Amino acid sequence: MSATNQQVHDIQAIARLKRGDPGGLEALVRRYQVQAVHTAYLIVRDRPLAEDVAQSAFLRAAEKIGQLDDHRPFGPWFLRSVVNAAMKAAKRQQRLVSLEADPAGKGFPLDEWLADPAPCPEVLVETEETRQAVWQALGQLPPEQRAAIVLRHFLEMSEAEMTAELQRPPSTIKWWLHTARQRMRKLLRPWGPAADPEEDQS
Amino acid sequence: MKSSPIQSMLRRLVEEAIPPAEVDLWPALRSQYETRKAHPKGDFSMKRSFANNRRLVFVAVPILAVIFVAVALLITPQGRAWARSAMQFFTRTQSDTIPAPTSEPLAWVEQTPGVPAPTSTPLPPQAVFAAECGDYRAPHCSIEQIRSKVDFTVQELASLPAGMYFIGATGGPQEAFITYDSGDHSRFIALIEQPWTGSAEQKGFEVAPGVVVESVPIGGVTGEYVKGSFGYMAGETVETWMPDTGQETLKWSDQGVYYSIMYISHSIPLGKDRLAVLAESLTTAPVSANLTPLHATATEIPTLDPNRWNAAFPLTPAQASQQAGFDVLVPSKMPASLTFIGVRYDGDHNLVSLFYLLDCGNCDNAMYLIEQPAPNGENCDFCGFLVGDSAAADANYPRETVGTNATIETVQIGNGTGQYVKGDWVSNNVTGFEWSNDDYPTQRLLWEKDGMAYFLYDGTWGGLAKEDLITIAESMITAPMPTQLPAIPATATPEVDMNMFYTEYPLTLAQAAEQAGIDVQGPARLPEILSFLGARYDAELKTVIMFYLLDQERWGPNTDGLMLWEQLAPNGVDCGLCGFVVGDLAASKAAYPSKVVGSDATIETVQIGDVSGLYVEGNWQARPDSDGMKWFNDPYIKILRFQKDGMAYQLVYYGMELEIEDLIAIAESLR
Repeated sequence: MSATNQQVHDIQAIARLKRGDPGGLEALVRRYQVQAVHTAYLIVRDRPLAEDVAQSAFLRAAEKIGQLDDHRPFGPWFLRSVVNAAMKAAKRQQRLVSLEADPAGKGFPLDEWLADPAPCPEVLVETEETRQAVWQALGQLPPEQRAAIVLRHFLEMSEAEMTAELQRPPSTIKWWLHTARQRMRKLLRPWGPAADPEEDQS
Repeated sequence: MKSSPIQSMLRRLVEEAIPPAEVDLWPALRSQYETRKAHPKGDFSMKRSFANNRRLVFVAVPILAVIFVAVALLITPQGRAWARSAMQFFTRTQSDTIPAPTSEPLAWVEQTPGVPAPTSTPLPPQAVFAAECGDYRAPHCSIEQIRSKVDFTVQELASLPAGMYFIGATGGPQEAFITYDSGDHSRFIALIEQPWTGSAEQKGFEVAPGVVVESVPIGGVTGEYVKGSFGYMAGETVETWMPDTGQETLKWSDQGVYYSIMYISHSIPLGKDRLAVLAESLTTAPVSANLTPLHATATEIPTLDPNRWNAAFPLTPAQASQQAGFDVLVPSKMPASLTFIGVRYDGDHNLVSLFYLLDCGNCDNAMYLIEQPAPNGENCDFCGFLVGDSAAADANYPRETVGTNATIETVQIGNGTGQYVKGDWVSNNVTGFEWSNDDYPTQRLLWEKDGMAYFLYDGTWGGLAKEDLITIAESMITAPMPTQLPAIPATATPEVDMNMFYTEYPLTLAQAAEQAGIDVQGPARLPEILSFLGARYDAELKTVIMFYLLDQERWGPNTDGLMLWEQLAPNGVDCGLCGFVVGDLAASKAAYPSKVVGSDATIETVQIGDVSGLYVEGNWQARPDSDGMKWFNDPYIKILRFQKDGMAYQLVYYGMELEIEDLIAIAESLR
């Protein structure tokens, strides 16, 4: 489906939802549920919790749909709320669970891979180990910085979009990204420069 | 689009952990949604939310939303017992509210186990029609297709408001439903035609007791016009009459056919007279090209090429200056919603046009500015409006002609005066145009200055006031030289409107020094991530301000970088840049440039060569989670001030790339 078609279908679904038609919500859920769950998962790192976050975000979107400016696309507006909800959930979770444990059960202790000699950079993006290194590094970040990385590098929002969607001043966004990148860079140093999210921008 | 490696890795990670095929939230969500909808007093406040945002729902303007509103009105149960017929085409209710339609109960059919249900039930005629031409939400047949399907004469509009187009048609065996839309979906027309029966359904459009139903002559018959409609929100049990839904309805019958035109727009009302003009234009003859369907189906809204205007306005202001042989001025103040596209030089009329496009996605709402030499007012196309009809407007191009009924207002622009007109030419039928003062919020401003004539045309319909146009006119400055303009790829739309940013710093260092009458110092050493953008001289502050822009290729379009302020400070008195004082926001606002920093700011004394300076991080900001503007010790903003040889200097760095030591090194390199 082209971006324009998707937007038109979103408009149609939103109009239905505004009239109280559950079919409108269903269409939006079918279209955005995977992205929502995946986005939440990257921040909360727990599948059931990620699904809860996404579900709540959909219900909240249905509740607030009347406030959505018709000229704004649904996707960024909705995913912003997913990210915000996931950040809150992650903070609550942080108080209960140590993030040092690998909630995905992948078994890749951070201290081990940090101690491991750097592999060849050219194979960095190809290996399961590298992905796990990124996963672990992401898990070491506080929720806000994780959210910043997810917004910028997973949802591919520009800094301008992040500023608009998160309603934070550009300086705050830049600061979050800067800090997150610095920490990621440090955590991924053994894996070479290609693992630096800043360098990954093409 | 190619994914970045980090995105690819993140995607793989989440897809391995949660395969997309396993994600199915809808069953659980549906039951939660239904439960909450049925019990709105819980924490799910849909009812309250919709009620509080009643207007928001009806402010929906995209075509599909508008069609839903229109269709809702069509399917609202008609001929209710409480309706009282008082007019030919409308019925009046006894109250301003009426019960909202309730959902139809499910029709259950008893099944006999083991006996297959019949599968060949024919579709009702209406459904057959919808299967071929789409339902009311997505009509996509041509008028000719509709004519071939019904047994009464179907007419179409030969006249439309400017910018509106035929979208598609559908209907049923006894109905034609024809739709028109504006490119930006802010206006919508539904034309409904049926054989006239005088039935309750045809007369059943309900209006509230106090609503005025006006009689409107349409050719030889009389129609009825109403503004507003009943409407309701999800979860509400009553419909309320709303005069400001943006809907205008005109109904009449003629030669055995019943007609209803519904016009819906929240920004541009049409009025009964214009609706009558549309009604009178109904024809069975082929209509002109602009009424050709834009696209095959109503859901296929074409995406306009974002660079569609670049070829028409290919020049920079400086290039246009070179071609035209006169200095092209550019506004230094423009609404943020407008993007500068480029300049065109018209050698035949010796004029340049600067084009600015409204940031509205799929629309062409725009502002343009024309400049033409007018040394003595002769051979000047823009030294005052011509007054005449649309034929005169065509004949006298490029002179700007307004209608005889236009109101030409003299306005003050700086030290001079200009002429301002609001209104536009609107199509009154297929052959001509007439001037309307209030159909469209188009604005025109003419003025002369320093032997040049200027014409500003605001076709953005973006809510600009006359005063805004005057502000733009008063902000005209010399265009920057080409060498000062970092290249912007012609095919890329920058996230930041860099063109407007560049115009704020139009001077070279030498030009700034000449204007200021001081010996301007520039850094001899600069990090390679910064490059000189330009300078400006603030005569009021007697300050030169230079801007060094952060690398655009590496960080993408941005306005971060280094500002270097220089000001005469022979004795440190009357010097806005000399030192800092601690105070509150009010004190900060009282002076510009402000010396005032918040009480929790950390002012650090630093050594810059053989003089000392002061360093602060932060500024006054209004953050969403703060109560108004407050001082934030924000490391994103670094300020260094010092004085040397009778001058005061301020370096402000926006960004995280430089540290205090870097700023000191730059300061020490000033020559």
